[in-house]
Amino acid sequence: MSAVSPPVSADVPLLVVDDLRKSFGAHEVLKGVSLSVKPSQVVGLLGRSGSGKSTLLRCLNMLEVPSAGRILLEGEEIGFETGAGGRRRPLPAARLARQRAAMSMVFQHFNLWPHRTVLGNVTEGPVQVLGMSRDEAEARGLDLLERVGLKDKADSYPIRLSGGQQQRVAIARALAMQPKIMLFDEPTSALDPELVGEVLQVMLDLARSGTTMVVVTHEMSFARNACDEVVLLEGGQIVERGAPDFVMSRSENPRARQFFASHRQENAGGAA
Amino acid sequence: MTYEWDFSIFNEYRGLLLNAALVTFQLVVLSVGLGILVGLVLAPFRMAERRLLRYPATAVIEVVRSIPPLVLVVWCYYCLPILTGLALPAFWTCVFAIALYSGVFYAEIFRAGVQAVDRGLIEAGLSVGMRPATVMLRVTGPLAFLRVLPPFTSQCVMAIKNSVLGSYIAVGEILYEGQRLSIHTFRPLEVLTMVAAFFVAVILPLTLTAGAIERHVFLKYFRR
Ligand SMILES: Nc1ncnc2c1ncn2[C@@H]1O[C@H](COP(=O)(O)OP(=O)(O)OP(=O)(O)O)[C@@H](O)[C@H]1O
Ligand SMILES: [Mg+2]
Repeated sequence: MSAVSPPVSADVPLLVVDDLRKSFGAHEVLKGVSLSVKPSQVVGLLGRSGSGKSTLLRCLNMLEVPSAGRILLEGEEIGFETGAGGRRRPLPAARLARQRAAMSMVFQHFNLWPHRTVLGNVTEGPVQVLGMSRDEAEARGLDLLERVGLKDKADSYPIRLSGGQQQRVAIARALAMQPKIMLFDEPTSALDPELVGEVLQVMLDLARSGTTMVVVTHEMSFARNACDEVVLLEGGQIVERGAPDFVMSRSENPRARQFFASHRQENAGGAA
Repeated sequence: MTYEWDFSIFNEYRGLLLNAALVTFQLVVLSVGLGILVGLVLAPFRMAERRLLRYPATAVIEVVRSIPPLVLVVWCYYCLPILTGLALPAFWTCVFAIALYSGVFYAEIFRAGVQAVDRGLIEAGLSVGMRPATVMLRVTGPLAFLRVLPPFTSQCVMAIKNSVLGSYIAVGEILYEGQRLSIHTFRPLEVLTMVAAFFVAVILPLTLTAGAIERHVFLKYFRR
């Protein structure tokens, strides 16, 4: 292996997931998932409830420890190291923390820290983890809040914000870590329908500005418009993947057809 | 039958009583401070995943909290010197015994607080790259503390009141000196009233302040 890290180009994947498996007790939730994400690519993870989407995303961030398989970010294995004798062992907490900082997560239920202001939520990571000075972190934090349209809420506490606003703050908090990749777990599922748009708009802007993203979503319009690739997960396995238009409309795969047909029905039902 | 109250003795003996109040004050500050420390040290062990760490802490907590505090204070006073060969002054025996006794309760309160913190808030900390210790310091700890403020206050009140147990091992705190005075002056009712008033005067401002902080915190962070 060469000592020099390979140049980051558009063809070299940023994130590689190789035959990832995860079991909870005897229940195997991920049954060998492989995935690769190139820089600036937006990958949508779709699938029924219980298909393992959240588990996959949480494994990427080591919030769940995979049972088998490997995750590589820019060629570096996440969560494990291989010792001199070829033995694979979990990374020490400090190094795992550093790796996690490179992959920021946006959660379904926002998970903003209630005891910190909006700006405090955004500056916490840079100050505590990156060792940035408070002044610099606040200046950058205000820029990020402006980007998600919430600069005027900087001094409010999260509880005073609507769900959509909270989720935009959570996105700013994740961006503040300058992550290599952003992970979204159903970021709009906990929102009232009228608040979904503002969050999707922020995500769409991010996608267009070249942010690498993996997005679990039930928003078919977002998957179609923002994703470069969508992946359909079923029973812990990837059953179809490809360009959104292909997977969602043209695929001959019966499971893909069934999934998207039921979704179209749902949407039609919802509109009626 | 009417009783003729006579509180003038307190004026006469105010030097002695002030001194006793000062001893009580020192006893309270030291035992509450140390008690919280004991709780902060025990709680992480009590919550540890490793049994080797968890079991001893659990044993200490369960044993100590089932001993009546009076028995614990007196036992420490007479038995510790025999067991350890270390004879502490009555004052310090009392400080340590009360600190240990309230410490195990603080530990349980802190544990309840930590376990009540939303897992998602902890994961948010981990996912921005905080180490587990940083998450504890910046997220779990503060939120747990805010959540357990009411039981924490109650436990502080208990610990303050437990300082009178020192009187059983002749620590010159307010109840002990008061009792000596009542024997001397034949005025036990006045003395008991004075001791009760003393504790109300010490504790009420504390609980009122804690209540105000609680309301403030709740409105600021948790209520829409
Ligand atoms: N911590 C856990 N312990 C045990 N089982 C779990 C755990 N987390 C998830 N599971 C199980 O794993 C399966 C996949 O869950 P997961 O949350 O990944 O699904 P999902 O695709 O995200 O679903 P949804 O759309 O409802 O969020 C489910 O059957 C779930 O019950
Ligand atoms: Mg999920």
